[in-house]
This record gives sequence, structure tokens and C-alpha cells, in this order.
Amino acid sequence: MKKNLKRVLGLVVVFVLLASLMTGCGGGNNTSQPGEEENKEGEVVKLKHWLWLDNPNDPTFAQLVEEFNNTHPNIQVEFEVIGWNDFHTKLLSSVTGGSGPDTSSFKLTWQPEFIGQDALLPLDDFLNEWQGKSDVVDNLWDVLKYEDGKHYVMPWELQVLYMYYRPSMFKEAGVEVPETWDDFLEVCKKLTKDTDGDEKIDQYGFAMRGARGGHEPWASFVLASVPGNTFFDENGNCTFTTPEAIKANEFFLDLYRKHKVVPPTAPGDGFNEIIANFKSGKAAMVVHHIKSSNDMIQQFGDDVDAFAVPAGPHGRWTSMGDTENVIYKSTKHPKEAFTFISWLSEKEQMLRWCKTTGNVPILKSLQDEDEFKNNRFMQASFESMPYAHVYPINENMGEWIESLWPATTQQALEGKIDSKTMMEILAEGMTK
Amino acid sequence: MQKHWSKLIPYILVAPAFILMLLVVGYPILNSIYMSFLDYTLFKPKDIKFVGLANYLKVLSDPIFRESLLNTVLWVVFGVFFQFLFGLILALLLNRKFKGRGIVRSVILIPWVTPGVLIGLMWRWMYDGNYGVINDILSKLHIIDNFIPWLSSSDTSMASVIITIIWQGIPFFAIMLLAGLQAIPQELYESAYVDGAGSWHTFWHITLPMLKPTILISTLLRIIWVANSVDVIYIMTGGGPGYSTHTLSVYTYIKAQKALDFGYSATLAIYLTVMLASVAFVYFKNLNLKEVR
Repeated sequence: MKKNLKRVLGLVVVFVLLASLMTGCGGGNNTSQPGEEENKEGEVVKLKHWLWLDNPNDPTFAQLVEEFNNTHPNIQVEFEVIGWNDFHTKLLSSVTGGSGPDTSSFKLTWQPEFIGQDALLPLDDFLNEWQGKSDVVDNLWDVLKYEDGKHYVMPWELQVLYMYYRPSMFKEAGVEVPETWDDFLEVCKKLTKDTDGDEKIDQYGFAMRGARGGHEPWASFVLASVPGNTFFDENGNCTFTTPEAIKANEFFLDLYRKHKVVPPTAPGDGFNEIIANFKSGKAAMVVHHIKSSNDMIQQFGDDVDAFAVPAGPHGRWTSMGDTENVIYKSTKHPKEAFTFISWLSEKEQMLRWCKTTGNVPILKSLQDEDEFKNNRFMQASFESMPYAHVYPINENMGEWIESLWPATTQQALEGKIDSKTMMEILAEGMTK
Repeated sequence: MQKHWSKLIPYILVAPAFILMLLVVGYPILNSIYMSFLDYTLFKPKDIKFVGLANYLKVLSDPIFRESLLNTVLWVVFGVFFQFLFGLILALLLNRKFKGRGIVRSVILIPWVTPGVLIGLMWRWMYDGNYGVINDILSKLHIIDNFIPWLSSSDTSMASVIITIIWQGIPFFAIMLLAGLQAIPQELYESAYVDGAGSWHTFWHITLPMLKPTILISTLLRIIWVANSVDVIYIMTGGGPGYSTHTLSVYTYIKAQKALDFGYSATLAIYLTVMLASVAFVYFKNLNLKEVR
């Protein structure tokens, strides 16, 4: 018995040793391959590109890449589509671990994490040479500039938030499109009513978003009352705690607390809920961008239209959604990588991309295309662009957007804290 | 030589399992303890530094931690107690003989085998303040006049998620207790019957004491699971409105996944682990399992 065991053990040990030898060999092979490739000069350059797609079934991107590869025989791009939910995590861990792609889609808000570890390539030298630079819409290069004054991103996709509304409901209530936030309140009051005679309110003025993501429409209320429409004044102090901002925030909260012109579920309503409320006729107005427009037209046909977010005492502010392309410092072929990502943003490709995905074109020369000129939602987007901005970008903002804003706003909507306290918490969270 | 070998063999045989446990359990635990002493935020990967007990002290003065702790107590106490109560009732019913008992026994398992994410989504729609079926039924029965935003108001949000977790956990108790019930020797009931004991007396003096070991183990397990569960609450309310449904595990999750603050999050996790361990300790100490047997 014992002898048998010994034999078995011996065998196990031998197998374990063999196995480790085998993995040793495998490892050796794997590491030697990229080295060989690097030595071949003047050969075809291979680029790895990562992106997410809003519609994974859309073949347009694959077609674009195929066309690029055909027209640029010295560069071969391989792309990988990664789901949006995992994209950020996977990108961050791969880039940190040194196995990231050469280029990828990117969100402006991710800059601090990636620039913080010196992973992104500044593009200014390339951009100055790029012929399309001056065709990009005004104001965009400013918005995309990082706090050190450099540009790390190539603009690609753009959406601007504006107000969707139902003309039939407006007509029935006898109201016009509001120009200012004060008008907006009056319009909301008239739109909030009982439509089927059971003495219960079943139509509300505005689908307020009190849960995650609501900070974007919210800032349109607040910053329209702040001189200069900025998050920080010249001295670097957060403008949220100024009396004007606190008052504007009070106005926002009162839509729910006092006037009750938004659905009673507003504090918990996220994207799906506000869109459902609008589409079911529970709300007459909702803030979103161009990407909802096809869906809305399908549902309502002509009975849906758009206007720019109303103005406050200091003008208008609206939020911009963005996707850019970036190059990682780890790439061995920065020049070819720029050729690829700039090609994506050039006129013809941009036109094709915007037509199929419904994004707002970033190039001025495309705004006159019939396709966009006759689209009322594109027009609302173009109109809103001069005052479209993004939130400040720093390492506090991830938590601020994901949990601090919703939790604090919900507390204020329920009357647990007042407008001033809410703004102090939000200002502190932004600057700590 | 032979003797040495025979002494070593048990160790060699358990070594693979031991090493595996060390890798998948030991390392993460030690690493979280280590991380809790660091200022470790993934947004600042270059500024990771040792801060000693700073995280532990920060937790104690954190108002969100206090609210989460209170919510965790409510969540666990009410959640587990009612799961147990309804589970016991169900087990007693299922222990009787009736037609179709086999089918019923497997059907009641459905809530337990449904993934937590799915349960969260399902109940979120049922609770929905505009179109939810719960509001619809209550208003058709004229119990409520206006639809109630169950999950969007902090008055009702915690109770709503607790009801969901109760629904999920009842089958677990029912099955565990049913197994316990069937292990009770029939002779005990027969002799009690001969002695003239009523059904209340038999339940109180035979069923419950005999079930005690099962009850202890299953409630302890469930306390730990419920305290650690994130999915149902996170899907249903995201911890809101405000912080009204933040439990410690939800708070830990949000801190790690949304704020990428791994240091603070590890500290929260360790507080929760220590608390759960002390609950388990007190549990075993006061209700000695051997005595029960």
C-alpha cells in the first residue's frame, strides 16, 4: 500500500514538473513574438483600436475600418468592440498593466486617471498640422483643452442636451415654448393637470431626473443664474454657494417640493424613467440629446419637437455629451495612429458616421448638409452648441456624479436639507 | 524513513486545497487589510501612500457610515426575522400530506433560485410609482387614492427593499426547516399524543426544541448573507433616495466601484466583517450547539 502511494506521488511530482516546463516553454514563445515583429522595418504597421458602440449591430464602423485599411496599405487597423459597461474598467486596468490598445474611444472625464499615470499622448503637434482643425465647431477646442493647456483628445462624437416637448399638449394647454426659466415654470403649471376627469393629476409639465445623471439638466437651471455661467469664478471658488446659484437651485427643488409640476417619482427617476414618462404622455417636456430623437419620432411622428434649454438672468448653459479618440503613449506608431483617428473625424467619414449613428457633426462644413439642415433636432443641437459645456474634470468628479449629486439632491427634494446646505455639500465635494 | 513519509502524507494531500484557499481566500483578505491602511484611490494611481489608521478614524466620524450602519441593522433584523417566520410557517404547511405536495415544494423554490439582479429589476417595476402593479392593485382596492412612489421616497424605500429580500429568502428557510422537521422522530409526537398534549404543546415542546440546531445554523448563515448582499438594493434604489437605503455593503460597493476609493472601501468592509464576526461569536457563545443536541 505504502509503496503504491509512493509511486503515485512520484508520478504526480513528475507531472507537475513537466507541466511547469511546458508553461515555461509557452511563455518563452509568447514573449519572443512581438520582438520579432518590431524588427521588421518599412513593413505594414498594425494598430489595435478599442471602442464601444451604442448599437453593436451597426456595421458602419467595421466598414469604415475596412475602407481605411484599403486606402492606407501601410497601416492595418484591428478593432475590438467592448461593451460600454466594462469599457472603462477594462481600459484602465489594461493600460495600467501595459497591455492596452494603441488607440481607443474615450470620454473627456477619464482624462485625470489616464494623464495622471502619463498614459495619453498630447496631440497638439499633430493637430496643428491637421487640415481639418479649423473646420471643427467653434468653442469645441476650448472645451476639450485639459487643465495643463494641452489637447489629449481628437473630437469624434458630440451630443448637446436640449428640451424635447409635445406640441399637442402645449396647444391644448394654450402655452408657447418658454424662453426663460420663469416662463418655464408657468408653462409647467399649465401643463400639469388631470386629463381624464378622475380628479387625479395624470400629466406633469417636466420629467425631472433626480437620480444618477440628473446633474446635467440640473446645471442648466443653476448656471443660467451665475454670472459667466461657470462652475468656478476667477478666484477659483465654486459658484454653487453664491446667493444667485442657491436661489436658482431653490427654483429647481420647488418644481417638485412646492409647485408639484414634475412626477412624484422624480427623486428616484433616472434615464429610463424620464424617457418612459415622456413617451407615455405622463410628462410634456424632458431634457435629452439627439440620440433619443429617432425613438421619439417613431413614437410620436410629428407630435414631438425641440427647443433650446430656457435662459436665466445670465443667459443659457447646457451640457455636452462627448466621445473622443485618443492615442496611448505606449504605442510604437504614434504617427500612424494619428492618421487613423484624424481620418475618422474628416468630412466624408464624419458624414457617414453621423448619418447612421445620429450624432451631431463636429465639423462646421457639415452643418449645411440637407440631412442635418432639415432635421429639427439637429437644428436644436446646433443652436445650443455655442453655450454647450462639460463639467469640470478632476479626480473628485467620478464620485460626485455617481453618488454625491443624486444622494444630496434627493435629500433636498425630500426637504431633509435646504437649498443652501445642498449647494455647500456639492461645492465641497467638487473642490475637496 | 517509512514513518516520516506516513506522517507527511496527510499534509501533502491537503496541500493543494490549502494552497488554493490561500490564493483565493487568504490573499484577498490580507490584501484588503493592507489596503485599508492606504490612501488608495485609483483616480490618483501615483499618490498611493500609507496613512496608518486614518481611514479607520475617518469612518467613525462619517455621517453616511452611521446612517448605513443603522440601515444595515434594520435590513438584517427585519429581513431575516420575517424570512424565518414565514419560512417556518411554510415548512409546517409543507410537512403535512396533501395532493401535489411535490410540485408545491419545487415551485416555492423559485424566488430562491432567481438571481438577485433579476429580483431587483422585477420588484422595481412592481413598485414603480407611475405604472407599478402594486400601486395599481392598491388603488383599485381603494386602499390608496394616489400612487405612492415607493422607491423614490425615503419614508417607504427601506421597507420596500426589505419586503423584497424577505420574499427572496423565505424558500431557503422553508426548505432548511422542512428538512429539520422531517428528521424529528414520529414516536415523539405519538407519545405526546398519548399523554394528551395539544397541538400547541407539541409544537412548543417537541418541534421547536428539535428544530433548534437547524434554526441556529440557517439564521446565522442568512444573517451573514443578507448583511453582505448588494445586488437587490443596488438595482432597486442605488442606495437612495438620499442615503436612505445605504447599507454598509452597498456603501462599500459604491465607494469601491464608483469613487474608486479602494482604501476607504476596504476599511468599511473590515468594519462590517468584524461586526459580523462578533455577531457570529456571540451567537455561538450564548446558544451552545452541543447543549442543544
